[in-house]
Amino acid sequence: MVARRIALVKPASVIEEKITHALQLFDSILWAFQGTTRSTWTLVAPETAEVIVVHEGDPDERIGAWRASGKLIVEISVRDRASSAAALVYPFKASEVLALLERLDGPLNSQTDPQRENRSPDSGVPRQSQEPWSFVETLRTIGEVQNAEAWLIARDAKVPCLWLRADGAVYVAEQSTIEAIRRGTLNLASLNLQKAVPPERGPGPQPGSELSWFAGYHASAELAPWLKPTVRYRVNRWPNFGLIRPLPAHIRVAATLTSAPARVDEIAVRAHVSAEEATRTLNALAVANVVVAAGDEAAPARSSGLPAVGSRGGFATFLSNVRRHLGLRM
Amino acid sequence: MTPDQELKIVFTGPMGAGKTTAIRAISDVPPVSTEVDNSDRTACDKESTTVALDYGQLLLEDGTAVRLYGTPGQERFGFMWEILCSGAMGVVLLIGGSSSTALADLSSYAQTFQRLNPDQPLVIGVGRATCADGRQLDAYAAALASRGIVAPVFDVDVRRREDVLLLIETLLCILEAQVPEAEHAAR
Amino acid sequence: MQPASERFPPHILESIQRQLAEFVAANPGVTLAVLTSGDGFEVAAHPHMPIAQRIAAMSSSLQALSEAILREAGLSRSRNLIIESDGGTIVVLGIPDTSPRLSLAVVASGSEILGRLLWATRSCCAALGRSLQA
Repeated sequence: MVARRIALVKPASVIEEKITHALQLFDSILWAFQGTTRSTWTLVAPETAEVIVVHEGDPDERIGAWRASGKLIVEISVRDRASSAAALVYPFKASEVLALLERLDGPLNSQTDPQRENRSPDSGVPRQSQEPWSFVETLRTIGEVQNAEAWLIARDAKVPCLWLRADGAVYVAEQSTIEAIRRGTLNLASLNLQKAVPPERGPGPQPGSELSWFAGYHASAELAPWLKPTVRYRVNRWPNFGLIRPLPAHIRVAATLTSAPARVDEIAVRAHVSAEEATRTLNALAVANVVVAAGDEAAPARSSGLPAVGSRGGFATFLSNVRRHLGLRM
Repeated sequence: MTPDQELKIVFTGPMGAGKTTAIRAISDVPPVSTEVDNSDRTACDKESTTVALDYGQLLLEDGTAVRLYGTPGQERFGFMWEILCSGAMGVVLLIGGSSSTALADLSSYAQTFQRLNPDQPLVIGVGRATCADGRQLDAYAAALASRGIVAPVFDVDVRRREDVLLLIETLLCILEAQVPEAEHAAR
Repeated sequence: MQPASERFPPHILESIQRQLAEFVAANPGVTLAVLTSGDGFEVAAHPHMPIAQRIAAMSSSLQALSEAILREAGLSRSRNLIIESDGGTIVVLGIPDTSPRLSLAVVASGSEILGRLLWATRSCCAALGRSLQA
């Protein structure tokens, strides 16, 4: 297998968030499909890369020099597909990226350096993506590809950590790893995903929705790049909490956003959670693909007939008593 | 606060879905049952069937009692559904996921109870789902959404108390979210 | 689903139907008599009316609830279930020695005297029980 070197170059000043997302997506796809392409693509600095991925129209003066030195320049656009001549237009599918990489083999083969051929796929700097959302983006990409036949293995350094079916529907891991994923003590962004044989008999499969939920929840204390603090969101479908086994606060936030749309700061107040909890849970709900922007209208919370327990303040006490009685965490 | 809501939670669903089991999992008193011999084993292969209701209770420390009712599953006892659900805090709908009529049951029951009381919180638990990856329930949730029903649909095993508690906790959170914002600010 | 009536041999069912007709004819205040399975199916009714099916289901629910309340109260098995209103009376009695259990639900207008209604219904139940043993 031939080893190729590729670099991703962000514009010096990012005008649109989409540009960052597009490059992150490309990065995630490279990561997710390591070992499945004809050549092995390793992320390196532009100076040593054979292929450099840039944003269409990036005024970076180095691009001309790179082109002149024989490096292949791949442009990614975030404009309308019809008006762009770029190689890839965001949002692009994994299959488009893989096809592009296959096409690049031709021109690169014509520049072949005999010393580069047959290099071990493990040579070059092992790529580790430290973008907090990279693993989440990878899971999203995998979910779109829908390949239930293949398996991927995630390694932390070189240690196998978890096996993920290539459609993202189930994963297999030791109980300690599952608990670390749920607690957020496993740095998912540092994992390397590669094609692998199915796991041997061992722990039963866990739902992929649990992995993606907690990956989304623990990815960052900041709002995800595709969410905005000024937008009101609502839940249009409940996540399957029977599989996810959420924390009590997660259920409260989901209930709040089902009842009425809310901004992230409003969620904290209505669901009686901290600002960070509101942010992380909204992130997780977005990763689960169950939130939509509700527009700018302020929808008041619905008032309904509540159980007759005296005063409204009594209702809060009643809920507290029921929760305590059933041993539910508050 | 309107006095027309009562401290009761109703468990409903087709025969054999686990209503009696769910109530037994959390009731503080041995549940009262109205089970009789099932003469129609083709409809459901169970020896007995509920013909009126199951009854359990949560007895809170301050003396408040929350009543737990299980409805009969069969449609000929549909008159009991309206009687029992009237004024309830919320409804827990249990569906057997391995049944060939699971999706039809889900749609039918959900639409019936939404029609009886559109604002009443509804939480759905699906037992013995055939897919471990949740795809079956994704289809169920989508089917409900196409009918304008946004309700929680969870994989559960009501023989496990923690699963029944998940359904109850979700019901409580939905109720809590319905408290107007002024009340939240006042707390 | 097999109708509850089809679980009995035709000659038994004919006998039951005849006895219900005779019972209603002999008691002018009675407007409906329904033989019900324990789980709420109509076995036979006279006269044949659409509400007979609902009466069957409801009477089995009431019967089961009455058994439950008697158990809670530490009392023995239900003998009669009586619902009295300004317009009439409903009584539900068990058919003796039947397994699975059958009941007779009788709807009567206000003109029927309760004591007489109970006596007549009890006699009908005993006769039905003997027919079902045959």
